[in-house]
Amino acid sequence: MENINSKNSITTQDMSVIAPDTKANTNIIIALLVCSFMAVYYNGGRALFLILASVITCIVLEFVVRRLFGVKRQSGDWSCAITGLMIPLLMPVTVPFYVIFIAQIIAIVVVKFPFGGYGNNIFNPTAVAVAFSCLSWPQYLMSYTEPFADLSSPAASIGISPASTLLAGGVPHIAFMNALTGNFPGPMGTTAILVICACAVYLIASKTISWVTSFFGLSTVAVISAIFPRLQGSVLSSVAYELICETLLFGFIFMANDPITSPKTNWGRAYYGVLLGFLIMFCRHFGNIELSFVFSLILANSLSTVCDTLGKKTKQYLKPKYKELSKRFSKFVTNKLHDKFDLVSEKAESYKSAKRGKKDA
Amino acid sequence: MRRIKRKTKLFLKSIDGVILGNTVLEKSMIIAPIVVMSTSVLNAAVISIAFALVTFFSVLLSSFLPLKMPRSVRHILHALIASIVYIPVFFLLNLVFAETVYKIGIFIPLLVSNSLIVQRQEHKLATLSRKKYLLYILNHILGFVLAAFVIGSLREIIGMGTFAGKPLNIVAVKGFLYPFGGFIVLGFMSALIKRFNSFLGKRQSDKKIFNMEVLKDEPIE
Repeated sequence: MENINSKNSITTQDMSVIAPDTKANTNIIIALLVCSFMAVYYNGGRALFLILASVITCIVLEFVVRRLFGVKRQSGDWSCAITGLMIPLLMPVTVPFYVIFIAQIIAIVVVKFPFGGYGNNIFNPTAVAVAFSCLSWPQYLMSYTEPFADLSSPAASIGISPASTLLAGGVPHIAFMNALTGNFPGPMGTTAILVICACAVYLIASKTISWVTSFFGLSTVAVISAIFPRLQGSVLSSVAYELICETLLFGFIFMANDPITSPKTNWGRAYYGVLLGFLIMFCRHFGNIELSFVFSLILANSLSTVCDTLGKKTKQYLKPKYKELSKRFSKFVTNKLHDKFDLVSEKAESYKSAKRGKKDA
Repeated sequence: MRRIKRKTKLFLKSIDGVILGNTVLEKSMIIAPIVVMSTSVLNAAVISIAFALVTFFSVLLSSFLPLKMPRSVRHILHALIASIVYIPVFFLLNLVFAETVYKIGIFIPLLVSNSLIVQRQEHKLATLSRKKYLLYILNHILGFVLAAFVIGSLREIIGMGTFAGKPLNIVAVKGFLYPFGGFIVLGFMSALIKRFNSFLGKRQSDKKIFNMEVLKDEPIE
């Protein structure tokens, strides 16, 4: 019984504290800084102020809460800076600063430290903080502005995001290049698709994140949006808009690959990605909230251990079959090679004998 | 300091159920109406009144049931008594707080089953006199009322920016009015009570439960 349990289920040791990886944290911060740069480029000085203030308050808040809870800081733990960078990037530029501050309090005081700090939290702190803010102040979190808009007159610069258009059953119209460069209304740091893709390549190449969750998740979203399109029109445009709208791409790269709350095995990650993609499309089809990614991620986080267990089981199930298959394949290949070799040798011999016959003649 | 600690501990022990051993905050029982509907002082008041009346009178009437009666029959009778007591309580509440009673909805009738949880303490009847037993139940009711009021007022202040309907000119965080907000407040209150308990020193009963060596030495009967 013990053996079965140890093989098939995730033990408490697997779930124990994950030591912070300084290199990975630095890579994520670099990628987030690139996204922040795009946010500042499109939204101006206010975006810079929000991001800087958010990072500083998050670090100070974590320091204070760490003292209160009596948790020591592990070297290389810069998760507070990552949370501080991510929260404003998932919100519109017009959001008041107190919304970001309260979101940080939720992330650190409610989600992170009551469970034991870094490496122990069950849910992604940023996702919970943004979901909480979304339910508390939907009027701020759902009102986006056009890029390069004059923020001094907010009424004149209100823009409609593709997510809200799709939610209302309309058809968004965004030029291809604008869609790639992020020149459309949406959360500050999540619209620049090309930049996010470049960040994803950098993070995958530096082995900071795994490609599995993102690949399976995005594929699921694409397949479901192709089969059940919300958009009346071509399948391709439906898939494209579903992939670029909201915080989907940003979330799949930076939040779904969180080393603490996501599964640890590759098969588990694949299941997790599929589950997350399915939940997102379910929320988009039947829900009434634009930011479906964060809510789906919270749900998927609670099933992350189940995904890992399933992944382990799948691996165990497929391992002997893999061996058998590889044996059969190698046998098949060797037999074929032998046959071919025999054929070749026969041909060579016949050729030689023919040559000898000619010579003799 | 030690003397103050001991005196506080003795006093709190004498009113066991109000703060130490609180039904909601320490034993995590009857949390549904508090988490879902205790979003304002008025809601908390209505839930508290309903719970106090239903529980006290049903416990009082149930205490007359003979202890020799089979447990299964006694439980059915408890449920019947609580349901009968609920009818006049509902009419009374509907007369005074009709709108709030409508808003709270199913969570007031559900208090019938919640009062049964308190009635399960009836094993105390074997060791305590009826008067002391009723006092013990009253302590638990007081504990529930206290928890409901504290959580209700906190959620009203944070979630609506008002206190008992009066605006306080602070930022309202609407998320605290949802059930998950209720769980957050309840969790932090419970943690505070646990911290206070450990500050005073663990209670004997807790030591017995959690000390594994004690369990090892004592043979299970």
